[in-house]
Amino acid sequence: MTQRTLTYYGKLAELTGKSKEEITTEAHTVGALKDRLIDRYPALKKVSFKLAQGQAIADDKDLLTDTNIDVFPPFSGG
Amino acid sequence: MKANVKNIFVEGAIAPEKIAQSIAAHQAKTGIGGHCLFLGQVRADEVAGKTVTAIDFSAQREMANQVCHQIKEKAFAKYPIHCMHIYHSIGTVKTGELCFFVFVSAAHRTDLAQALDKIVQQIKAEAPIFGKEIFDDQSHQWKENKY
Repeated sequence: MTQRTLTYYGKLAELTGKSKEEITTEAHTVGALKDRLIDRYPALKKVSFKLAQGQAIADDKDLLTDTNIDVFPPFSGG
Repeated sequence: MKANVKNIFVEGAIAPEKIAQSIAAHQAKTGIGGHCLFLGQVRADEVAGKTVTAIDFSAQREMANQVCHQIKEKAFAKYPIHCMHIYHSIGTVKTGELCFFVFVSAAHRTDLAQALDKIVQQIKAEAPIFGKEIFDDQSHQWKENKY
C-alpha cells in the first residue's frame, strides 16, 4: 500500500468536491489507480480523464513512479 | 523547473499593448524577415439561451510551462524559426479580451504560418490548461476544445 497525493483539476475538482487529497492504495499502475478512482467517484465513469506524474501524461500501462499524481479532465486552453 | 523553461502565464487578459511591445522588441533582430501571430480572443458563445461573459482559466502551471518548452524545442528543430513566444492567460478574461498569444518569427515567411498553426494546435492539445466559461446568469460550463 502506498500513499499518494492526488490533485484534481477543472471539472474534476467539481465532480470530486476536492482539489487535493491523500489516498492509500495498492494500485501499482496508472490504469489500476484510474479504476480505484472510478470506484471512489462513480461520476468519473462518465467523463474522460487522464493522470500525469513527473510533469508528463501517463499511459494506463505505466507504473506509478511518483507520489504526486495530477488528475486532468480534457484540456481546454487557447 | 529547468532554468530555461519560461513562464507562459499572464494574470488576466493579455493587453493589446503587450502585443505591440513584443513586436517592437524584435526590431533589433534584423535577421528576421517576417512574423506570424496568433491571438486567441474570448468569444461570447450562446448556449441554451445563455451568453458566455468570461472564461476563468486554471492550469497545472509547471507542467504547462514544460509542455510549451518542449513544443518550442521541437518547432525550433523542425522549422527555421528565429524566435518564438507563447503567452496564455490565467484567471478571468472577459469576452472580447485576449487570452492566448503565440508569436513566431523567421528570416522568410515560407512555412511560418504552418509552423504557427502546428504550435497553436499542440499547445491546445497538450498543455494542461482548463477554461471555465462563465455565463451571464453566473452559471458555468467547462470549455472543451474542438479541433
